[in-house]
Amino acid sequence: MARDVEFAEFFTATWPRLYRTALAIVGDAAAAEDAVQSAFARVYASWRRVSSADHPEAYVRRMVVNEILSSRRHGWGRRERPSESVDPVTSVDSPEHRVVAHGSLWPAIRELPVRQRAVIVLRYYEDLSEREIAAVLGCSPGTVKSQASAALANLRRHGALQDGADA
Amino acid sequence: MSTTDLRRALEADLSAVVPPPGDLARATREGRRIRRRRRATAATAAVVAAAAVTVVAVQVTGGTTVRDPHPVAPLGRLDFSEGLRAYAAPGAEIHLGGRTFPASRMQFLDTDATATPYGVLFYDAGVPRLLGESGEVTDLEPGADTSSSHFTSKVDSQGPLVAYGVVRDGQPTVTVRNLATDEVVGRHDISRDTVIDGLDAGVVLLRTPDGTTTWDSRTDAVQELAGRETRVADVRNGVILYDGSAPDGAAAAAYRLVKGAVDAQLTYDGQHVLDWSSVLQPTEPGGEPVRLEQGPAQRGALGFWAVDTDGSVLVATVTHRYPHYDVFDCEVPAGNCVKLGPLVARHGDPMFIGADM
Repeated sequence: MARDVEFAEFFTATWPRLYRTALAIVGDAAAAEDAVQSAFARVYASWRRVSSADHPEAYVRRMVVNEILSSRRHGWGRRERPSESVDPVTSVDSPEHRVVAHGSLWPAIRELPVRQRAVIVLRYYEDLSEREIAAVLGCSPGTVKSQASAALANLRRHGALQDGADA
Repeated sequence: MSTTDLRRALEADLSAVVPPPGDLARATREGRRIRRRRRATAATAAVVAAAAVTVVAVQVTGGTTVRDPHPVAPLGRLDFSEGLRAYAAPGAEIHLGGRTFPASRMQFLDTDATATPYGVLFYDAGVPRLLGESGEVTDLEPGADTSSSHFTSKVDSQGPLVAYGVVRDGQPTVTVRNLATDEVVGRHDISRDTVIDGLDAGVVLLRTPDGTTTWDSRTDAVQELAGRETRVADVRNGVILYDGSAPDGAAAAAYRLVKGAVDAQLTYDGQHVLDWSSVLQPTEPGGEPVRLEQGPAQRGALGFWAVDTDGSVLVATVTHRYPHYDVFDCEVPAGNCVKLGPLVARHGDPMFIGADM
C-alpha cells in the first residue's frame, strides 16, 4: 500500500535524528529507543494527519519529546505502551561515553531537570527557536526563555559553560 | 565553553552516536493495534463505560452468543438538546449529554457506535441498541440473531433516520429505522462484508470489496455508485465527499461530488469540509470558509474535531499545556464557540464518541 511505503520512507529517513534527540534528552539508550519506537507507532496510527502536516518531522519530534516528558512524570512501567513483544534492548553507548574533549558537558546536562534538558537539546542541537520549542513542549515562549536561562545557569554552575558566555 | 561551543559539542557528540536500527515492522504492527483500539474504544467503551454500568459479559457458547437482557443499568436523564456532546478522555472520563461518567470499564463490547440525535447506537453481540436521552437502553431489533459480525451504522442529517446492519434469520440485512417513530423504513439484504459508508435522505451507501452502491430505503431501488477505487468519506445533503477515483456509476449523477480525505467529514448542510482544522473549507467554488473561534487553523496542528448530532462542531484543543485540553462546541457557519469544559487525556487522544473523524 502507498501508505505503508510512504511511512517506511519517512521512518527510515527520520529515525536516526529523532533517536539522537531522544537520547540526548533522556540520557538512556533503551529509553530513547522506546520513546521513538512508541512515537512512531502512534505516527503510523495517525499517518494521514502526520504526513499532511507542514513539517511532519517536527510533528513527530513533538511526539517523541512528549513521550519522554510524559514517561518521566508517570514512569514507563505505568504508561500505556503498545508493545506486543518485549524486544531485547539494543545496547548503545550514551553520548556521555563519547565525550572526551568536553568532559564536563554530558554529566552537567544529565544533572539538569528533564524539561531544561529538552530545552537545551532543542535549542542547541535541533536549532529551534524559542517559539518552536514552546510548540514542542506545549508551553509559552516565555517559559522556554526562563527554562533556557535556568539551564544555562546550571551548566555554568557545573563548570560546563563559562561565566558570561553568549546565550 | 560558550553556547556556540555547546552547539558544536552537541552536534559532534550526537553525530558520533550510531543509532540502533529502528524496528519498522514493530511500529506498523503496533500502530495498527492503536488504530483498532481507538475505533473499538471510541465506540464500545464509551457507551458501556459511559453508562457507569453493570455490563454483564457476553458469553459465547458453541458459536451462539448469549446476551444478558439488561446489560446496562439506567443512567438517569441525559440532555441531548444541544447535541450529544459526547467526548472522552480514554481511561479517565466520558462526557455525554451534559453529564460526566468514569471510564472505568471500557473493554466489554466489541462494536461500533454512532451518535444520533436520539442517543448512542451501539452493538451488543451484533444486535443494535440505543442508549437514549432517558438514560436507558432499548433494543432496536429484539428478534435479531446474535452475531459476531462487525457492522457499521450511520445517521442521516436530513431526517430522524439511522442505518445499521443486523442479522435476521441468518441473513445479514441493512435496516433504516426512523428513530422519531421507532418504525422500520426499509430492509435490504447484504453480504457480511458490507460496510455502511453513509446515509443521506434515506439513501444508504453500501460498500463491498467490489465497489459502492446506493440503496434507497423508501423505494428499494439499488444503483451503482462507484468502483473499488473509490472510498466515500461522507455524504450530507446531496454532497458526497470521496477519496480515490471519482464516483462514476449511475447513482453519482444525483450528487454533488467533492474530492477530499477519507477521514474528513462534511457539515450537515454539505457546504463545508471538516478536515483536522478549525478552518472548514467550502465544498462549492467561491464559497467562504468557516473559521471556528477555537482550535488551530493550520492542518497538522494538535487538535481534534467532530461534527456533533445537532450539526455543530466539537473541538478539543490544547489551550494550556499538553495533555490538558479544552473542549468547545462551535456553531456552523457562525464559528462562535461555547466551552464545554476541560479534558485531561493522559492515556490516548481525546475521542468523540460515535462521531470520530
